[in-house]
Amino acid sequence: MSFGQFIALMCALLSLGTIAVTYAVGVNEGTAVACNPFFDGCTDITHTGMKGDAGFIFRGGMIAACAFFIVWWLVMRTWLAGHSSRMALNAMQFFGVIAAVGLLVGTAVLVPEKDATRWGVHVRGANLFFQGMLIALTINYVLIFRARKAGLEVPSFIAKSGLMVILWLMFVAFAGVTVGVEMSHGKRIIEWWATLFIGLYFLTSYWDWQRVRLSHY
Amino acid sequence: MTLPQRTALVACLLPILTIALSYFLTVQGGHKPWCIPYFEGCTTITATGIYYPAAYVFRAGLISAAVVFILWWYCVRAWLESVGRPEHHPWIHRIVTFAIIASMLLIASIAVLGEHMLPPSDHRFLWRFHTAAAGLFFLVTALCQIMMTVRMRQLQRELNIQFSRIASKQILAALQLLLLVAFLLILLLDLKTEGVEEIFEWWLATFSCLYFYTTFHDWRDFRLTRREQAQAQPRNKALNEVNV
Repeated sequence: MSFGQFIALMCALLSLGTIAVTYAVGVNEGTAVACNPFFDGCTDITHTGMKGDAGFIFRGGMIAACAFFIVWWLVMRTWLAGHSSRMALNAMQFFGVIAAVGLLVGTAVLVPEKDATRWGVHVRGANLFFQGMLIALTINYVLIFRARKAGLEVPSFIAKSGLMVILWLMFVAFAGVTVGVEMSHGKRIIEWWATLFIGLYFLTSYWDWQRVRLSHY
Repeated sequence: MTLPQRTALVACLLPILTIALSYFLTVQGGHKPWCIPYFEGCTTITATGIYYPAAYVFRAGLISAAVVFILWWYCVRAWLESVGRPEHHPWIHRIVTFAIIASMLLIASIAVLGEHMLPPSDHRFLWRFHTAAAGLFFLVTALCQIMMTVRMRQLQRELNIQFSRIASKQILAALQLLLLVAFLLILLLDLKTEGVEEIFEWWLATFSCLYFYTTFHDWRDFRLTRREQAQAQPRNKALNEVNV
């Protein structure tokens, strides 16, 4: 497995895996409602990872995932360099890293006691993640589209295209993936799906980055 | 600056700056006294990450740092494999595996920290878990760095590379070994006094962080490369290989 593949895999596994384990532990401990949140919208992601052991898993796993997201953007930049302008790559990396840092900070301020949580910071951080990530992924997709036309091999192009269409449809249909302290059922559902699709977008690079590796040069 | 060089730099600076800022915020909040913990042992590193808002900084910074440590060890493995014959050196894999597990333990130990652990008498399991996981991280990381230095020294010729900073690695590894042996002796001879454990912890953490930086110069020509169609279009090599 190349370095690029390792990063793509870790981003997806850590983010999606952490949420899955957190939810399972939360339900088991009685701190989260048991349902299918993708369809029922009974809980948002944040509230599954606040109390008890689920909170520890959520904070540890998501902060680590965010650190991997930042590296994912660095690797993406390397992969696209030579096919895209410096300015476009800077913009892509800027929004991607800002989004990851937003979620990192938003997760770090979560505490078991709901009243003691700094919701302002968390909500801003989570929104920065979703909005920033959408902008960064859109720039990324456009750059990949152009690079592919110029001859770059992109095995995951169809998957990336599908995910991008879905993410934008969700964004347009629900006036943005916005996160709040108390969210409606619809917004909760969107939050779960958007997170899943963003995680899968990270994963698709696993098939593109076979040759992105560390070596002496 | 190459990606591995950035990793080495961040692995050194991020934990040091995080702990410094957390300590500053903890002192500002009036939870711990102002002192030089390296000499006075007035507080543990853990204590700087208990009280909010220092705990937020501590949590975000050190868990991110643990990820950077994992990447650093990944770089070490790829680097040593690229300069030698990896099939002859299974020790690289063993050391890196142990070190990565240690970094994961650091994540686990930091994730449980916060004001919810107060008072300590009511949350003994969490404290024990944190102490065991963090202790293992320090111990295993130090041992892996010492082992790495010893093996690199032994195989310096065979690996056919100029380790430009082998001297600094040796000094830091020796200091870590000295600290571990001294601490063990203090425990065995029951010479432990107040603050000794804290002093050892601060120094060991600092030496470990500085060790991460020692590969910065080694990795000048070691980088992330995109070898796209290198064989099919050798003439376009300059265009196709973009490095960071």
